[in-house]
Amino acid sequence: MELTRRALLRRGIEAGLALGLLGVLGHGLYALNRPYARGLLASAAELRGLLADGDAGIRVLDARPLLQYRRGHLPGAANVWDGDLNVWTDVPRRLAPAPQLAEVLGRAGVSRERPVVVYDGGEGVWAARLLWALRYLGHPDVRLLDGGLAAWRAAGGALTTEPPRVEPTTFEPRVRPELLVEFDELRAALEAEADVDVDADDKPAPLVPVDARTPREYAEGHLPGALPLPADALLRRDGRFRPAWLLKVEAERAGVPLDPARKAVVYSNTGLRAALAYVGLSLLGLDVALYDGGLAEWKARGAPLVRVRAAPAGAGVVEEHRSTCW
Amino acid sequence: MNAWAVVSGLIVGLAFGYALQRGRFCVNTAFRDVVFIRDGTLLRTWALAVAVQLLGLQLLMHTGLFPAEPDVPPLWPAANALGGFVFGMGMVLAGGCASGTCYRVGEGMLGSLLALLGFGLMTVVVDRGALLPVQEALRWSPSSSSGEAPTLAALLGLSGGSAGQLLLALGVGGLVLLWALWTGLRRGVRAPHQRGWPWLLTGVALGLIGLAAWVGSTATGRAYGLSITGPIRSWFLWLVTGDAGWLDWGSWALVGLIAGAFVAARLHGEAKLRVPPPGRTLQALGGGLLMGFGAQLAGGCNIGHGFTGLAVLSLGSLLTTVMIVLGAWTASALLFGAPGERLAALWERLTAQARRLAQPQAQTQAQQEEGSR
Amino acid sequence: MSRVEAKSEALKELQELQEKAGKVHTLDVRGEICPYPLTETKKAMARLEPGEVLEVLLDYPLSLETIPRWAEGQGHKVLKVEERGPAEWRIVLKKSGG
Repeated sequence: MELTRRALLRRGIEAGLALGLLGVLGHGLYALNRPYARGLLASAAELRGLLADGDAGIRVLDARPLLQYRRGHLPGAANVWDGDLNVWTDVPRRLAPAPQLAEVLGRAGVSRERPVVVYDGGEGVWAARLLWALRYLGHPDVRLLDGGLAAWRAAGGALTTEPPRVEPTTFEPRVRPELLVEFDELRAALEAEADVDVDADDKPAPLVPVDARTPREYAEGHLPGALPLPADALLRRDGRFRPAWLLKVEAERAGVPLDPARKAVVYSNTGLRAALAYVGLSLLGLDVALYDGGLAEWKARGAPLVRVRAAPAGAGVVEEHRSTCW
Repeated sequence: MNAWAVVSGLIVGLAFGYALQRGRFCVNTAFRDVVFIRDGTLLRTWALAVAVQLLGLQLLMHTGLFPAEPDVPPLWPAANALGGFVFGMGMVLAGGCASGTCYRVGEGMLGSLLALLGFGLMTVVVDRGALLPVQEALRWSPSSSSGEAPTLAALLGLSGGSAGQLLLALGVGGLVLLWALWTGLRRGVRAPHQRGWPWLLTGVALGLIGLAAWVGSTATGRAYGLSITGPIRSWFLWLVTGDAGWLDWGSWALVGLIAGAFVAARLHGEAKLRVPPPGRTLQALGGGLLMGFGAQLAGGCNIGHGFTGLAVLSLGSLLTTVMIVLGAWTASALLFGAPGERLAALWERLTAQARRLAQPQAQTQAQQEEGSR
Repeated sequence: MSRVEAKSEALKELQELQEKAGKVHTLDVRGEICPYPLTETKKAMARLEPGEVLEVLLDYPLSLETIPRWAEGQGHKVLKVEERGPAEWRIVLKKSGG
């Protein structure tokens, strides 16, 4: 009796371990093959196919400076440079008022009825900023060419210097205010969170600030409660976005809650790298908004900053924990 | 650090420790037995595990199911060679390789516990402490023009993801697999007086556990499989600095390993606290220190290099593994017998083999002659 | 079975074996791990006369398999492999020849 019970226990534990192993294998393969959220990225090969069709009616926008655009661009691409979309006041690079944007986009032949694909030289930030602006203005179908011009060329895509035939349209903006966070709102939210008793079983703060700058900039001063997610960590070396599973790992490492009920507010100094983080976190299906004023405005308004003296445990200092043995 | 890294690390570690204890898997014994008692059972287990993991991982990679780029340990010729050799000598003194020592800690061997503590201490001493200059002096890599990871495939000019690379992996893995099965199945799966798992079960189980480790660990952002040196270093660094950022999937797998070995030993009436004779205690500590020094210098032990690194055909891992074997043989010869005697025995065996190969022919000739008469 | 009983049982068996084989030598390698149980057994067997019996007391699971495997490879006879108590075993070997 005693012996059979023991044998049964052995079998049970061995079966449990085998099942656990299968679970890890299955979950791991599932996680590694996690797809991007749909409708944000277009691969170079995909775009080539779509453009070859001709009927897709896609409007391609080149987000590089005009001079670079003139030297060669995707066939049919119109140029929309960052400088035309933003204004420089006491705070650098803020999104221009909606009517001005509508005019710029209308000249480039953008309407809400036609899908848009944006690209830049492969830096990602310019195209990401344009994508965010278009979404903010209510465009329902904007995608980013993954890897930009470099990926297009690597995929065998041709360039042209021929100016495209662009029929000006009227772009009717339908502003989505939930994609842009202003200073007052953010400051109030962060202060409210700071006031909340730690022990109180309150709902978690709805706004989670995410700093898209480098770990060093983060250490020198960031918004209270901000999580470090360097924009560099979102891209591969060739400028394409990292695969979804790796984006998720980076977001988890930074501590970003993977909870669509909470909103991540990305920021950088002037909103360029923040736009990249906007795309990166949106690829995980999260609810993301951009604090356009960025650290420049936050500092100028004299709002409190947090400095890091020692490296925080496990946060954003990944290179510190490099492996030197396996 | 997310909770899943802890859970999946612990699960894989538990299974690993369980299989190590039931299969009595010790690379130290495996390499030594081949020469000193001419028994290849454990060597076959190891080869089988390596082959199963190699084939599994390469197939997953080439079918696109495993889309990550695995971490390939760098090639540091001097550090790999010296580190591997010292590690090999150390494990003979300590009475077990890294995995063997860990599972024996789970069985309750206090000598092995001492060796493990020495091992962990030395990894930190070499990596950030007094012996850092040694590591810095010896860890240089030959310049690579292609910028590709130092693997056997890159050495042969096969680029990543190509069909040639897959063929190479299938070829190497298939040969090892065939050798293990061919030589093993002729001798039978189960030996008389066997209490633990037969070699076939242990080998296949370890290979699959290694594969699950690759997948589970990579999904948490650590693009590597099973290892022991890195994780034990991470625990010591965490203890010393209090920085929890050091702990990752591998750290939890190491905890699981020891716990899994304990569970296995306990369930089979093999767990008990055991103390070696006094002299042997010191020897185990010394062996552990040497193992830590060698493994940290080489960038891994018989698991990180000699098992997991081989799955990506890393050149550094191949070199380290060869040097671990040589170090183990050297130390065994010095400790347990006149080296000359052993060599003579080996020579005699080889010549006997040659004679045996030649004999059947002579016999048939003789028979023919007899028949014609 | 209590410990004392187990011991007396083992003693009885030992006597039986001694009667049968003439003489039994004992090697205690409890506490030792790789490779000492095996190397000590090899040394002890080398000192034995053909036909003599050696009992090895050990608590190291790995050697529980390698010692019989080695002994059979050498042509010695493995008379017994048995559990003596919690995580403690006894292997009885008879030297070849004689």
